[in-house]
Parts: sequence; structure tokens; C-alpha cells
Amino acid sequence: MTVVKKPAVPNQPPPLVTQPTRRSLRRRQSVLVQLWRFLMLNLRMVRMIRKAHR
Amino acid sequence: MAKIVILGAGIAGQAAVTLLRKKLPRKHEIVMISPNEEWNWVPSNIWVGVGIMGAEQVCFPLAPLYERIGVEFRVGAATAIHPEGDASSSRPFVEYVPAGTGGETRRESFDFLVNATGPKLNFGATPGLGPGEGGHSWSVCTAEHAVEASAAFLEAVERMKRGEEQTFVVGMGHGSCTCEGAAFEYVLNVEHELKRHGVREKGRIVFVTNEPELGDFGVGGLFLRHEGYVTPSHFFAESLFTERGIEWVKGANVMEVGPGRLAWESPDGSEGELTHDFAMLLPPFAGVGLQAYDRNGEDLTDRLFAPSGFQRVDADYGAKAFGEWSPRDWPETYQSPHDPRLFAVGIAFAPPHPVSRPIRTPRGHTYGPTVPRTGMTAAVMGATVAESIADLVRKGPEAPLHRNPFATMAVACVASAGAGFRLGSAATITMYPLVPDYERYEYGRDLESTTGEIGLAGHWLKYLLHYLFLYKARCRPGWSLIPE
Ligand SMILES: Cc1cc2nc3c(=O)[nH]c(=O)nc-3n(C[C@H](O)[C@H](O)[C@H](O)COP(=O)(O)OP(=O)(O)OC[C@H]3O[C@@H](n4cnc5c(N)ncnc54)[C@H](O)[C@@H]3O)c2cc1C
Repeated sequence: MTVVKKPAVPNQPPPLVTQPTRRSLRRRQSVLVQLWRFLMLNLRMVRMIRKAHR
Repeated sequence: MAKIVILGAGIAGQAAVTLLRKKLPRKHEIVMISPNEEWNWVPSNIWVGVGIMGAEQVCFPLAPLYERIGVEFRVGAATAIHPEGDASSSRPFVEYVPAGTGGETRRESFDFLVNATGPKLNFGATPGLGPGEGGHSWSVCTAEHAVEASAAFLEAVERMKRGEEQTFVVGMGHGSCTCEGAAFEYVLNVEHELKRHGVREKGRIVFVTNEPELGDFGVGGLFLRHEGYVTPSHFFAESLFTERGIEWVKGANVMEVGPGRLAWESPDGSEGELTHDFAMLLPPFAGVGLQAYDRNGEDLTDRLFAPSGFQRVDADYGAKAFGEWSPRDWPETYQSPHDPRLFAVGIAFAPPHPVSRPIRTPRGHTYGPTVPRTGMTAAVMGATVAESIADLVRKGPEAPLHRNPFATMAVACVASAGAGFRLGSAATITMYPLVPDYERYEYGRDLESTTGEIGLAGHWLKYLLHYLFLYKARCRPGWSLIPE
């Protein structure tokens, strides 16, 4: 059995975070949307590589 | 004819050795000294560590490659550098212990030396840390470690399938660790795999990190452009963890790992403790312990190396307070200030100081994440130094060195959050410059280039990078067209 002897996150208020809507979750896994993001990510990578190889 | 010796067939060493061999005619001798007979694409060890890839998918044997491209390969660990030679000859040489010879040392002379020995995995810094003897946690730093971790992880999954509840702790095994991004990736993969095995509800997952804030990543955190907002990276990381039900402990200086438990010190001086059924904790890094001697046998180690064991290069190592740190403190050529024939690249170079603000506890301990020398930066440094050495050999000692300032490097981090062609996911974070520059940028970094997003496309990209970099490291046709 697992016992936490002291709180894992001592004296911390609950974090303020954003949570994805269902639409965001669908978009993250949608093949069509993600094909477009894949293209954009590759372009961004090319930009980063250009900056890295000066 | 020149002779160049490279120490360490890792990401930086492989970038250096392959580019040097491409740039220099065969009459110049290139020697690689490294204890590992196989090359390991370390970033994919994350997937080995949860059992979705085998070690053979992230490693390949080096000897046939080096034979094909014309690099002499000495399997062994370097132990000492003699930049002035010794009493019998003024030719610089390096001493190494060949594998399987029981400690007998050999010499390799050089005209130029590239130290790319990466880190010593310093499990000894925390009692009970690590997979070795007396250790109570797992690691994914090497392919072998990742295979062991995956076996333990899958055993825990089996126990869950039998109805047992399990606690998984993932994170940093010491206050001074680096490479938080790797642990971040691993914990997201653990969560994803528990879901895939249908046992997520039986598992508690806790991320224990030395970062002052989640998403600090050893670069002092970042502000990133994310879905139309400027978002602090701690917000981005906390959101991802909350969405997945992963708890976290930040600012933790892990002091001890026992069987099934670990204890840490928090920034306010309090102690925390947690029991667990599976722990993957990365170790702090140190230099591999190379020594240096002058021609009379006098010890030069303190001059060539920082106390951490990493090699000093063209950085500003003067002691400065946090507020005085500047991007200009970081190196550009990776050349030793002690001897122009010596270079250090990748994790092997000594950072002048951290980037993240150190944590000081009421007990007087100072710790905090060290700056990450990621795969991309390691390879770029290796390639930069290879270009410099090739020019020095071809054009002579007056040839200007190639410069690629570490502080202004661009970084792309694709943090896997689970594998699978349709169900995979990864957080893609790009950042420029690596070291924040508040004089030039309002948020320390260029918001056009500092971005973050999560989705399936990131997983495809991570997969593509896995195959591209293994292809490049193997020097397959057209390899040099693939950038570092
Ligand atoms: C699990 C994990 C995941 C990661 N994921 C990413 C990622 O997604 N993206 C990213 O950019 N970075 C990632 N990193 C970081 C990346 O792996 C490192 O930045 C990179 O490996 C550093 O390259 P290096 O050549 O300096 O060191 P290494 O790759 O560690 O190579 C060092 C080499 O030197 C050899 N050596 C050691 N001692 C000696 C000696 N005495 N003499 C000669 N040779 C010696 C070693 O055997 C090794 O071959 C990850 C790291 C880990 C641990």
C-alpha cells in the first residue's frame, strides 16, 4: 500500500491553470488539423535551424 | 598531415567526427576514443523506458561505420590529457584505458583534441539514487538503463492489472540536476502508457523536480506564444499536468532515496517524503573525471577543468551574483583558454553559471537546475568546432575560428507525451535565444520564435526526428544535408 507521510506539495495553493475544451482536445488529435500543424511545425523548425546555424 | 582525436561518441562527438571526416582529406588522421561500441540516440530512450521501443531501435554499432568512413576507433575511456607531451616528447597526447584490458593505459597523440565526453551520471551524489548497487530508483539516461526501467515499469503495470494501486515518482534525483525536459517527457509517457494499458485509475503519478517552478527547464523558464497569448512556461506545464492528473513537487532537493521511499528538502527548509512503487529519477551530471598534466607531470587539472569536472572553454568564469549574469558570459568557439588545440563541446564544456535563479534554503543549501546542453545544441557545438579545426588544418593557425554563441542558440524541444500514429502527442517548444536577454527582448526572448503547442503533429515530428538523426549519425547517403 502507498502512504504519503507528508503532503507531496506542502503549503501550496491549488494551481491556476487553463484546461482544454472538448474542441481543443478534438483538434489536438484530428488528423486533418494536425497535418496542417505538422507542416507549420516543420516550417518553424526550419526557421530555428537557420537561427542555430549562423 | 594532421591528427585529430575526438573523445566520446555521443551526440556532440558524432557531429564533430563525421563533419571533420567529410571536410578533411583522408591523409589527415581522425581518431575516436569512446567506451561505448554503439551510438545511442538518447532522446528516444524515453520510449525504451516505457517498453514501446527496444534498445536496438535507438542504437547502432559504430565500428562498421567508422571503418567505412575512415575513422580510427579505439574502444576505451580517456583518462588524462597531456597538452605539452611529456619528458620524452613534446607532442601532445591523451591517455586512455582500452576496454577489456584491465586498466592498462595507452597513448594517442594529437594535433587537435575535441572533448565530447558528455556527463558522468553522478548517482553517488544522493544516497540510494540510481539503478546500480545500493540504488532504489531507475534511470533512462542510457539505453541499458532504459531497458531496466521499462521492465520495472511493466511489472508495476502487471500489478495494477491484478488490482493493486501503485505510485509512480518521476523527476530529478538531486537539487543540482539538469535535463528536466527528459523527466518531463518521461512522466507524460508514463501517464499515457498507463492509460493505454487501461490501468490509469489505479496509479498515482508525482513529478518531483528541482526547478523553482514547473516548466523552468533550467533556462529560467520562458514566456511563450501559445494560442494567441504570452504564456509563462510554468502555466503551460501546470496545465498539461493538471489535465493528466499528474501531481508535482517543485523546488525539491532530493536528499535520499530508500527502498520504496524518497525524501527531499524544500526551498522553505521543510522536508517532504513520499513512498512509491516505481521511481525514475535522473542523476546530477558531473565531468567524467579527466586529468591533465604538463610535460613535467605537474597537475594541470584545475586549470583545464572546472571543479565540476567539465572543461573550461572561452566563457567568463568570474564569480558573479545572479543580477550580474549576462548572455556574454557564455562561450562562442568552445576553445580552451589554456591551449588553442583543445576544445570541449556538448555537456563536456563547463557552463559559467546557471541560467535559473538558484534556490537558497534556510539550512544554507544552494541548489537549482543547471542549464541544459540539449541534443541540438550539443550537435551544433560539435559541428562548429569541426568547421574550426578543418579550417585550422587547411589554412593554418591564423584561420579565424567559427563562432556559434551558446547564449544565442535556438532550441527546439519536442517533448513526447505519448506515442502512437493516431493517439500520440508531444509538446513542441521552440525558444530563441537560449539564454534570456532582457536588454534586447521585453520577455527575455523573441516571441516570434518562442512558442509552445501540444498535439499529434508534435508526435509525428518527434518520430521523424528519431529516424532522421539515426540516419544522419549512420552517414547514409545525403546525411550532411540534414542539419544538426
Ligand atoms: C532520457 C533523455 C532524453 C533526452 N531527450 C532530449 C530531447 O528530446 N532533445 C534534446 O535535444 N536533448 C535531449 N536530451 C539531452 C541529450 O541527450 C544530450 O544533450 C546529449 O546527449 C548530449 O550530448 P553529448 O555528446 O554532450 O553527450 P553524450 O551524448 O552523453 O555523449 C558522451 C559520450 O562520451 C562517452 N564517454 C564518456 N566518458 C568518456 C571517456 N572518459 N572517454 C571517452 N569517451 C567517454 C560516452 O560513452 C558517450 O558516448 C535527453 C537526455 C536524456 C538523458
